[in-house]
Amino acid sequence: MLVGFDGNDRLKSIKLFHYEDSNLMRMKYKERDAMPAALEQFHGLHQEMILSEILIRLPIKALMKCKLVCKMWNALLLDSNFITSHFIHHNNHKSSTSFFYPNMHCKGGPLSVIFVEEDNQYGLPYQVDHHKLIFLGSSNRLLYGHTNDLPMPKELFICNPITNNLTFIPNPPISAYFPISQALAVDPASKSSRLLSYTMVCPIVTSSNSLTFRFEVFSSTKKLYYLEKEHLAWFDVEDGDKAGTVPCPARGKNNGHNANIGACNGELS
Amino acid sequence: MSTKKITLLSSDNELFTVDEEAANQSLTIKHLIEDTEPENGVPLPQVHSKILAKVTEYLIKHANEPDNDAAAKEELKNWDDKFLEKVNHETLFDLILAANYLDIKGLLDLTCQTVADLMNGMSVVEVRKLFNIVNDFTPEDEAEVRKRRKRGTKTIGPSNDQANQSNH
Repeated sequence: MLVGFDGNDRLKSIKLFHYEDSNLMRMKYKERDAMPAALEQFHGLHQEMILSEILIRLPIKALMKCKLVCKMWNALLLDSNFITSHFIHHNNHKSSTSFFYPNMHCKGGPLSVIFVEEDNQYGLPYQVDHHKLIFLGSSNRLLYGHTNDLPMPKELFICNPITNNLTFIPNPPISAYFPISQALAVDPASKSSRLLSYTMVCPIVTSSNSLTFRFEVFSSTKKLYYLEKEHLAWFDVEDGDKAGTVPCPARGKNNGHNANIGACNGELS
Repeated sequence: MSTKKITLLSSDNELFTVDEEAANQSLTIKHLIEDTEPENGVPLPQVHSKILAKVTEYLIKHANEPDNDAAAKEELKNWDDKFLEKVNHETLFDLILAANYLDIKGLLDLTCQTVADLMNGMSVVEVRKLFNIVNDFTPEDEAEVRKRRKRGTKTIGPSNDQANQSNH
């Protein structure tokens, strides 16, 4: 017969599954009582693996409930390995968007993956209706995207999944044409000051025939857009906003929908 | 063509005979045969005959998995559903342990998915009961987890702008 286990003691988690009456199980317990500590630990870990196998198959909503089951489950569900496995398992079945961000529980630890799908609640701001957000990408712990709340116009936002904050930033000044993409760079050094400074670049098609772009740049320190002409700006956000420009690559190569803008190490290119 | 037969020995010394092809779906059994070439059956001291009977049933059915035959795949899927239909929770968990120990991926997938489907509609209390877990949260802990889980659900709009700006 089994009684419950103390969630602080992982070894006891081998008793997770209940066995009630069979001789077999009594026999197993005898064996386990005699097990050397290392072997017992192996069984404990083993059982946790099996539990993961089950839990990665649950949809997010049910998983969130499972955090309340006991301390061990709560810890398991917050584990970045588990989150990654869950993501991989579900990503094989349907597409979702994923972002990397540093593990909030251990500094310098491995990156976690968070993923955005219909009923996802991992690390996303809670104060908004997720169905109305479209996430575009991430940079140094901040996510960015735009709202999708038709017929309201789209609004760009920046959100911090760790503090659950969401800030709207003004749309770039658009006259006749449309922005085709955005890219965000966040200063990784600014986190100590509680204020993350970031820079967003929006390439905007300036002519419907020739596929030329102008770049509207929004900086959190200046809080307004300024125009970047003729050049692709690159930023070293640790050292002010604009550290240099490179000439635009040959125009017209981008086929209109995806401008190649990336953020890397706090720099945009 | 005659296939080689493999004999499996359960923890309570019951013998089960299956084709080698069926047995090889279990990587554990496959490796045991390769490594030890047992003469009197492959000993599986962690699996009781009651469970091993179910496992061999699965192995025999899945020995020749159809590749491109949609109808056969459908039939196999229906068989899988029926296979676990009348199984009680205790046996289901024993099957998971056995599938894990014997390293049978298909059976592990099937049984874990069945438990996950079972859990999907359950309350926290029901899940605890299913896994025989005692709630070790203090009421304060539990309130904290609940709080983290559910934040307010204000509606979207730029009105939150000012308040949030300073926190980024």
